Amino acid sequence: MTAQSSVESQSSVGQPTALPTVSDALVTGRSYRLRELVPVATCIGFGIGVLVFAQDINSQVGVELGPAFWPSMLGYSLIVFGALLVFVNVLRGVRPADIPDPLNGWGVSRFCATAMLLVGYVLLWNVLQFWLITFVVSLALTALYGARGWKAVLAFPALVSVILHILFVLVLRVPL
Amino acid sequence: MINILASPVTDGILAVLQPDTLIYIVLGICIGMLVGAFPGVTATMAIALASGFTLTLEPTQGLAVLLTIYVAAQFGDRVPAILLNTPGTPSSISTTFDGYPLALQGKAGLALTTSAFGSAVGMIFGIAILAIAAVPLSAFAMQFGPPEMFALVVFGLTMMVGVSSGRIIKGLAAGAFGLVLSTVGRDPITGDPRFTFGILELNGGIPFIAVIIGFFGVAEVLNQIITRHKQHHAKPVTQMGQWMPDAQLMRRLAKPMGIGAVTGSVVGLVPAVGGDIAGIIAWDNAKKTSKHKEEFGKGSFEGLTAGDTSSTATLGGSVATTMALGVPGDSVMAVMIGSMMIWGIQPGPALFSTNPDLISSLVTIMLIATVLTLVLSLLRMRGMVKLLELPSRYLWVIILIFCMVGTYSVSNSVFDVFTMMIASLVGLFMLRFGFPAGPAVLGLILGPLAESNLRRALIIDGWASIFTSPIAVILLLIALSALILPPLRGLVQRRKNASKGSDLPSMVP
Repeated sequence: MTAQSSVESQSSVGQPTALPTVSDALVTGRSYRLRELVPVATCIGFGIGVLVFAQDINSQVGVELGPAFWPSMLGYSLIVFGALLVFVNVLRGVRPADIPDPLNGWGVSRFCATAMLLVGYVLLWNVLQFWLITFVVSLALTALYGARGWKAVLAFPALVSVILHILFVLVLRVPL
Repeated sequence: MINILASPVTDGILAVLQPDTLIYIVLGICIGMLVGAFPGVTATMAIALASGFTLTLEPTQGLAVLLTIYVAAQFGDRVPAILLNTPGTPSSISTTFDGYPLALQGKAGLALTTSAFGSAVGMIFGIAILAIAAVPLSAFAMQFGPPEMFALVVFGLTMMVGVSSGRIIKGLAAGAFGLVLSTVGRDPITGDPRFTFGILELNGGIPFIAVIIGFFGVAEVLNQIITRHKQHHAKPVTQMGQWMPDAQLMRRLAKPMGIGAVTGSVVGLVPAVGGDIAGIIAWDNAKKTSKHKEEFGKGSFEGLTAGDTSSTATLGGSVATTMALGVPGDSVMAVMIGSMMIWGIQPGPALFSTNPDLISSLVTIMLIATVLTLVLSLLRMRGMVKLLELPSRYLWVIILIFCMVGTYSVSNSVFDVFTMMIASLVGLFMLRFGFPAGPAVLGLILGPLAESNLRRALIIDGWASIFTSPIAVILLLIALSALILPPLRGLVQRRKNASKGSDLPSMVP
């Protein structure tokens, strides 16, 4: 692998992103450009939302530039950036490094299950013993992500629970 | 230059030499080396995670853990870059250029040790820059009034946006989003509530540690969870070959190390430009001046050490600008500023006046961390190769659980945990749609500083107060050029290529 291709290959999440290079030809496929309407809508929608809610800010102190000045300025900025994105990304095309890895059904299911487990984990902190609920959630997550065998499904969650209990409950005295 | 006989200097050193602080440094080294060695776990993510449990420590101890993780990660990330061709953190992108080809040639051992020597040289050079430049820089910044402070924040934000891998508009939007988040809570001048929606916890603002952990920790893991089909593990190179370099090789590496140290030190002083860019620039500079240009990219020890020396040399400059100006040198420092603010340490021009012993503490922590990490890196550890084969699923579990408990431990608040979970969903959206998280975090942290200084400046003399200040104008012009020049350069380059008729391949099938 050459130096150049090595730089370009690191675009996955959690990995270094690629530096802009000469060979970053824009991807002009229609689906990729239409997908960019989501960030456009988000920027403009969020900007409008900020402007609307900024009008509700009531200042008790009569000052020249009140509390709504700065948020309003940012709201207008977001709308401008959203409009610029139409010209830069929707009309021209997307850089290859900005195209994320495709989603897959099993991944989305794992994501939903993870979210439910983590919400349950927080809600049960004050109901069950911390080490016990940590063990159960670690076990469930490890199994969900594909680990099999007693070492992976039992020993690893047990180790995680013990370390967390020692660090947070015994050493840092966090009331868990 | 610091007067080393002054008592704050010795106070700062002695604070670090306490046995408990030294234990925390060793702990930080272990975490940092592991973090660096695992591809997919960045130093920013590790420091965001660690900030959860270091906030209960004394400031010196907490800084010892966080800074040491940062230093050690710069050594650990070379291991997967050389053995797997996958950078452990962005700083080791340039390591893959020559490190992996060297490993394929059976010189993995030599590549690892020369890389460690280069990294140590770069780190020490950077620390010297920190010791020399930090105090004069903060003394200069002490002259700053509201217009200059506002311009400085804009400068820091745009520099981070400018290096956001070419996503300038999205970087600006992310920065503006972070600034909007920072307006939640009480107005910094009048004290009026804004965007609190009757939620009592929001009166104090959005808890930024929770947001940082969500953006940099959980969001990245969630993205890996939803996209990875199967565990696809590349096999690391296991044949180490010769381990320690001989004197002849070390003499040959003196020049590229020098090029790397100088390049990294200069780049490090520019806010928001990190080790990844410095490493690539130094690799290119070393290639231009080398007698063996043909070896670069195919297995050159010169290229390897130039890049590694440079990427680590940025750390000192990065810490210096962060502490002296209050503008983070990179995303790791942005996270660290968040932790420091919780400890009551406000990075900025007044920092070294209010905490005169801090600079010597920082220098001592980084020096000890560098020496100990170098020693650890030179040990021939076969276990490190085994670690590279560890499936990601174990890391996911550890990171998710740590993020949850760590966020709770900051202020024992379930509200913070739910804020973190919402932030992780927002962070996931940003990742999927190409919004960089760095500017958003920076906006969140620096927002109150930007707003209060802008409003004060405008109340004093309107926009004229900003545009009649030479320092503010220079900072704003540099910021503007950081936004305009990269796309202009790209446009010119594309036109050149088009006129040559070059048919550039698209990376997408």
